[in-house]
Amino acid sequence: MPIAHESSLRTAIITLAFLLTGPTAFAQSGAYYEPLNEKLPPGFTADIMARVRHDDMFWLQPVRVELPTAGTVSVYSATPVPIVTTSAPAQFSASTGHFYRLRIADMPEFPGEEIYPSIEILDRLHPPAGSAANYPIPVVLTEADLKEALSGRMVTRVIYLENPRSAAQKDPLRRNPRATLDPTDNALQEAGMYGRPMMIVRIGGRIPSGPNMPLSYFGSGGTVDPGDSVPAGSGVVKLSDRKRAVESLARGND
Amino acid sequence: MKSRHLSSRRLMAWSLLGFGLIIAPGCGLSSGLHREPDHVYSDTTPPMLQQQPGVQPLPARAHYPDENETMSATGSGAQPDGVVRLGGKQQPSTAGELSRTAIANSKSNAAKPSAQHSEFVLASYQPDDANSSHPGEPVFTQADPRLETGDKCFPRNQMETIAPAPLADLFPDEYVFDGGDRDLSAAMHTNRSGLDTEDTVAAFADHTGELRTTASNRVAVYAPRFGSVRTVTGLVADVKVDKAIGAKDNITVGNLKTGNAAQENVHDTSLSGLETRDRVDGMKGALPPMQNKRMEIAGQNRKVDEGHEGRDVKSPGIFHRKDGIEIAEQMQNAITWTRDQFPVITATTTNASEISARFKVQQKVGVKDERETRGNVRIVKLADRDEARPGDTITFTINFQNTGDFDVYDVSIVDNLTPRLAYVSGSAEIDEKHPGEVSVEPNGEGSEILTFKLDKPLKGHTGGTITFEAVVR
Repeated sequence: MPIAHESSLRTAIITLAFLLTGPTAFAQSGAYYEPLNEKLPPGFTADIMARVRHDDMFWLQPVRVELPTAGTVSVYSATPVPIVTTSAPAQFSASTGHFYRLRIADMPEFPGEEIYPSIEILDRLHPPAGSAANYPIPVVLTEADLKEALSGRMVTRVIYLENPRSAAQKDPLRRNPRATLDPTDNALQEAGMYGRPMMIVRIGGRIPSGPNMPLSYFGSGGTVDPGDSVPAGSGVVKLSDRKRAVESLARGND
Repeated sequence: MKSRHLSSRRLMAWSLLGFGLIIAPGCGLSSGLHREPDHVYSDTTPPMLQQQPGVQPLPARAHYPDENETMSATGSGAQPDGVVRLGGKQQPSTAGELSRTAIANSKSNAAKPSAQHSEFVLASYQPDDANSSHPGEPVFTQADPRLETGDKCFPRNQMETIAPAPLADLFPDEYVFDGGDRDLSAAMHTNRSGLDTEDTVAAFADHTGELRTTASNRVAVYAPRFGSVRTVTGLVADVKVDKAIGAKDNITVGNLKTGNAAQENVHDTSLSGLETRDRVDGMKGALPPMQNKRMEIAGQNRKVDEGHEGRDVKSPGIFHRKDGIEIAEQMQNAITWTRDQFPVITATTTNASEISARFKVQQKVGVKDERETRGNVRIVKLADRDEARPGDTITFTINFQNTGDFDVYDVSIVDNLTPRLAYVSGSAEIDEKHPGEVSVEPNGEGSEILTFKLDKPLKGHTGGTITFEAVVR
């Protein structure tokens, strides 16, 4: 009975959030109506898209987290204990249709600061067999993004797979990002115009208040693989290599 | 009660009878249906694929995802003129390994244009149990070629894709394609119409003077690239949101536009209030339009014209000297026609004579031209790698061949690179047997159009190789 009650409550909350944020997307101009947007609760869009596409639930999509220079990256999945802690750039694999919480710390540009961004994996790649680890979804946290987050703002990036036929000459992910959208715009729909939305990255200044944080804050419970297929030299430290992980954390750099 | 029961039984019986009548024709139809096979095979080599004498095999290799169901032209006595789809059978999902094999073969063969063993894959399919077919089984016939083979009935846009994975067509945004002729068919002789990015086509003129364009196959290289869009919200951004809602200020600007005094004044001026007042003041008769209307009455002019006509009527009373001559001539004619001397008309007919001659050929001197099939340029495009990251260099190889008997002229091979590829300057090369020139021009979409023009006509059943490099952006 409590489970049913919790389920109905969750459904009601999600429906309410959808109704509250839906008109914002509907009011904007566009070629089509996109009911989903980046302002929905973390995990909602990924869950909807996973149900629609019927993705392979056993597929783990490689993800690569890059920081301006160095730092440590911890990955949470519905548990207050990180599944993996490694030095940046960090690469791991996670199931699509879920969101995960990250902890970014030990950045030389921001000493003593830590932020907890979330990543929501919307879609997956289909690389040739054996090449999945060579093509992760890059999560590039720029110094400007981190400054905005530490100043109390919320930075939301929608990472999309670029359409090669309409590709820009420069790398749009790093050097030539698309213009920052208006907060009232639907970034998910805007990304859909340039390619296929793959991930929503939310970078905010919120810090867990303590052990009483709900588990839903740390993710929706997707599978995380620390990365057996991580290429050498990528900076990823496996959980089995705890000695190196501790050393990396101690140095704050690798 | 009993009668009701009987009536219900009767109703049920009629219902069953009606249902039987309804389904009976359906059963008959279904039993008579013969499902045609979706794809058909042939155990005979199509005429267009027959090997021609003196054919020099090309160091290229076109492949189908299932390597086991293709046959090499080496030793098979057949030279393919196109790749034929092996339809009607589910392809196993081992295309990655197979295509890598194909790429490896292409790499090894690209440097040996004069190799004795052709690596062209015969695309027609011969089932193992072709001779053991039983009556009642579907009859396999020739499959459709997927590359243009010189016959106009096949659309050119059906192109074969060489990809490292079988899902390349389902997820094309993860690949960089080059080659083929996507969207509109390219017509290079009409101002390059239909030449889209990724297209690789050959333009030429056959011995009849017809200008033709053929497309290559398509090469897929796995090279995904990502981008991102960003929004910033927060306390300050909320203020911006308020200002954005103050974009209702823009609405007020719009209101200013709609409340434009000038427009209102224009409308007020255009109102006919003044005219009404004029009419009230009795100024109606003095209005210029009314005066003009009266002045334009055609009756006055008509009367003037009629007066002129009247003068014309009276004019015969006035004789001028020249009129006197005419009158005298008319009088003489009248006198003449009063006689009984009617004019005599004579006519002579001259018969036309026609001379015809027929020459008979007494002797023929020369050599009989045994060439039958007209020239057709087929191009096969290959890449030296099936995966690439931004910054990697891909070497593309274009094998061209005239598969017909007659020569083809003005051969040019055009490659419109996708924006993800940047041509490496100076890397284009044509083999020594077919000298030509290479021109590079921007395509307006961030990449280049490479045009390879052969200096000499391409003889029948000969071919060559073009290579160039491109960097993945």
